[in-house]
Amino acid sequence: MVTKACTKCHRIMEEDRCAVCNIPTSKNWSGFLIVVDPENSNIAKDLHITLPGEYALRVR
Amino acid sequence: MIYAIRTLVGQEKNVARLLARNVKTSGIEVRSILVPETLKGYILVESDTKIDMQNPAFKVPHMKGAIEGEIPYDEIQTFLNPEPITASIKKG
Ligand SMILES: [Zn+2]
Repeated sequence: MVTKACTKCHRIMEEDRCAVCNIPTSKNWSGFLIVVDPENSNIAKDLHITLPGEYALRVR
Repeated sequence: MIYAIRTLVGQEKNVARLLARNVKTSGIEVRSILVPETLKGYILVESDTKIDMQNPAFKVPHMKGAIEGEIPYDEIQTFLNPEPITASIKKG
């Protein structure tokens, strides 16, 4: 399974294009974050993440 | 509060995914799970309460046990901004 990440919102997905940002995704990502509860997560707040899910920390 | 859990090297993402699934169904107050690229054999768990490794939700294959004590939040912030300094200067 090839996972990719959106270069803007950093969400991890299999699609070639992010449905939210409408831009191409990248295979070149590193660092991994699962946000379970964005409303109560300091990490999610720091990264401006408002939706639960899987995110890359760095996307090129 | 941030807690570190040891995992088998190479299994960090799989352990994080299984743990995330478990905490969602069991209602444990885990807020997020961080797997920094540079930290081999560990995952970092953000939780409002001290994590209880005896809880069935923490019975995940390739998980090897928690590190005693909390990790200060400022120590993990470097993992959240992994871009090299030169890249941030160019953006500015
Ligand atoms: Zn996006």
